[in-house]
Amino acid sequence: MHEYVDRFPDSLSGVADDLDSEFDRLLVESSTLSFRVAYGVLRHREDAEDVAQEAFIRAHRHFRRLRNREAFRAWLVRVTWRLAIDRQRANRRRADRDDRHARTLPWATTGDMAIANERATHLWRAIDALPEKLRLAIVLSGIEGHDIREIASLLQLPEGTVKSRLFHARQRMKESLRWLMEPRG
Amino acid sequence: MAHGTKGMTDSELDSVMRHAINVELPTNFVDSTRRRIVQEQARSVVGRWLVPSAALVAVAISALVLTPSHRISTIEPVAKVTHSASGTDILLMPTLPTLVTQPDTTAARPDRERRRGVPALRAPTVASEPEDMVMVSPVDAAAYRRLYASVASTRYELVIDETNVAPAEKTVTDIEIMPIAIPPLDPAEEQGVLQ
Repeated sequence: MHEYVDRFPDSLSGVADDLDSEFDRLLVESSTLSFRVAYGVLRHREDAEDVAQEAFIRAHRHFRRLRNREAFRAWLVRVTWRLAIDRQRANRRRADRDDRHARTLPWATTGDMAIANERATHLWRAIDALPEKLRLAIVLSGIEGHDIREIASLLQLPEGTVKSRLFHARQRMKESLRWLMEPRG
Repeated sequence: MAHGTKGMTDSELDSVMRHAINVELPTNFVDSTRRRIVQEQARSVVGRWLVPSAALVAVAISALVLTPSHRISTIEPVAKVTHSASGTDILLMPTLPTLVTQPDTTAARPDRERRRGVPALRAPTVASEPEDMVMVSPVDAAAYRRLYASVASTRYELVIDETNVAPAEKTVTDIEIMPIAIPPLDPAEEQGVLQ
């Protein structure tokens, strides 16, 4: 047996190690992206963490066909998004969590807590009201300031399509959030 | 104002979005994800691999922490598994229905098959030696190689059946996959097999 193994030293030995190190590199590199995509749907850190980890577990299972970096990140965004949407729909306590989340927003300070909470609530309502295609595009545009080219790569869409979706998403959101910029009496 | 919408510009909207979405990754996210992946693997799947070439006829897996209480429950799509006496070495031998069911019919098979060039097959010879080695005679090798060419890119999947496995035994830390290949035949020898 060993005689035969020696004739094919590179056939399989070490493949698992190579895969693991390559996957680990992409895990480190793409964790924030996956987490924020999940957070963009769930607005709950623990849920977002759980969903993002589930997406990576699935990515690990299918890693042999996801070794290309761009393919991996695009796949990861899609799967994270779907898992987050599923989680959101399944979670019957979402309304309670939204209320709790609004009290702990990272950008709200003590002085303007009430206004910040109100802004956040309306912002997320505006995002949730978008059709899913527009919603994913606007969430990705908000993550780490992705530009159109990067979003097109993540969604595997033409840049023109992404540009159009972002335009329509922004129009709808600005309309929904117009009151935020108006003088408050 | 962008696009004629009153109240908010694109940059203002983007700023609000960035504030809302760019939350910090939990500090232990990567380590925690690694642990979950390892746990997931240990819980169910011991290993996946591709049969890399037509020359590969068998794969031996040595799962170092695989205890006798684990057992391979499924191998897809088609394979035969033999456990060694130690319980830690597993011999995986891809099988095909034709290979299993068709004996050596070189002498008796109908002339019409011989005329159509249907290759004669012999059932594999599997030794019951301590190492559970697959022994392939040179006569069988050419037929093997033809058969395994059809499964050369097949993905096999091992799944651990956790029934009756204590939690402490569930960690599979290392798996060594060793290919067992048939040495190439010289053309005259191969021709003799197919006649």
